[in-house]
Amino acid sequence: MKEQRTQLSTLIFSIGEIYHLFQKTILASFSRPFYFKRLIEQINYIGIGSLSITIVIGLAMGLVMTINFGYGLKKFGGTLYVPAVVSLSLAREMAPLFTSLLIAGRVGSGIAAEIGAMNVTQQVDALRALGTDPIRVLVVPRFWASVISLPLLTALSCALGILGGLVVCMNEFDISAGFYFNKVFQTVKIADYLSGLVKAMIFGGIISIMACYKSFNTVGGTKGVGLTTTWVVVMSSIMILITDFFISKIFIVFWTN
Amino acid sequence: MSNSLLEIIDIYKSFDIKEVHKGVSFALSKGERIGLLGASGTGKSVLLRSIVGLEFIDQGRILYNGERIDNLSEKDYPRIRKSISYSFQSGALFDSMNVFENLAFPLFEHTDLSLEEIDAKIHEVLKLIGLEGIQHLLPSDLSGGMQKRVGMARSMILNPDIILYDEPTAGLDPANTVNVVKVMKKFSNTGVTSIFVTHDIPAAKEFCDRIIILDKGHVAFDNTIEEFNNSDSPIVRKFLVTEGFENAN
Repeated sequence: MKEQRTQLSTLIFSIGEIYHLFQKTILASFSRPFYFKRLIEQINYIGIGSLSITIVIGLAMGLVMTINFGYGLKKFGGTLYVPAVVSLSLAREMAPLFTSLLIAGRVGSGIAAEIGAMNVTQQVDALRALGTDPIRVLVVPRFWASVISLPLLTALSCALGILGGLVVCMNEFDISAGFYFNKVFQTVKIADYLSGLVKAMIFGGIISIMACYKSFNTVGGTKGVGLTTTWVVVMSSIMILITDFFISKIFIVFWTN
Repeated sequence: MSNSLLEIIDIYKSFDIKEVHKGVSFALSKGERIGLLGASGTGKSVLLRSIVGLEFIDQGRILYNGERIDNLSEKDYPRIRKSISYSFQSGALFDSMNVFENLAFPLFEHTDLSLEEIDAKIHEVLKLIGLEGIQHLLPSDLSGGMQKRVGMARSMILNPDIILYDEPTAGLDPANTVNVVKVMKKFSNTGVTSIFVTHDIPAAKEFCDRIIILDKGHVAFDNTIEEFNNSDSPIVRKFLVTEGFENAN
């Protein structure tokens, strides 16, 4: 019982600390000094560096979803609904969710390993001792790079998913490209695309803030860095899935309807 | 108003149930070279970290030029950290940056110097530490001794009033120890005040003009290097025996 109480208080404390880091990051983002070069470096690493994985996941999602929905709906004569179902799922849910989960693995672990190693080798302390705020130098560029890059990667992943769907529809279900795109544009509204992009922005913020928070608290040498990396990937994935439900609900209630 | 540059007044610090400092007090004047000695776990490094705000003390005061600095906010510390510099035991160089970028970092952060002026300053500092021509190397390309010297150079590049050296000679061979102490002397000759945390008694004797020994959370000895050398104090004898510089008999 006492142990459970300790775990609960640790959890509440951690949530408070994560919120505090988020707050400090936002405040530091709008006051000097700015580190634009570092922001560009991070966009290059998080955004450009994740292009290949995004292309693969986007195409794979489109191909796999279309083939499953297609043969599933064929039994009930509903093949013509496949373009609408696939594109709507991709825009609202699958593209932001799967892209963010993959980025949580690739980028979250990268941030955790880099800053975690800096922390255990006193480089974060060295930044502070040199009169520099580690949040400005390390967190702000990573936060904004994630928030900017994730929606762009999601848009790419969604577009490729829809193209993947087109390929399957044309080859497996004799649906023409004109019909396919007509259905896609009829069904998926701007609000649906935007809801996916906003989700991706929020997921980007979650990944970077959780990774930076845990990295700043890394102790225990290389073993500690390994534990931090695992924690970041697992916890940010869980947080993305939990947050996704609530954001979806909010969007359905207030926006897309 | 006291003439001391830095005053440590009755500070207390504990980690959970372990009390590290139980009323530590001393002061240092401009240009002094203080050796801070003590067995492992007596809180020497913690004291240095407390001075620059990397740790927060539980009780007491730390004054720099008469201004209280132990209760500053994280926003106000950078001003103090430009004047009181901390040289880490490992050097703590940024491993993704080369030597030039490591040394230029504080200059880009806190000065308006042009790239040419920064380049000239770095050239001058590398010459001072005897490591010219290594600007382009990464920390991983340097030996332990070289990393420490570059770390020390980075901590003095903003011309601070005080440099806090955290065991800069730990783990070095005799030749590298001599080099490190030589660098510290060169910095000190520019008028910088120094606190040198070490277990290396010969290096402390070589560099310091005053010795402070921490024991059981208190300042157990605080006197000139001459007094330390000739002292019959049981504390000094006990410390030297513990560190293996004298026999127990």
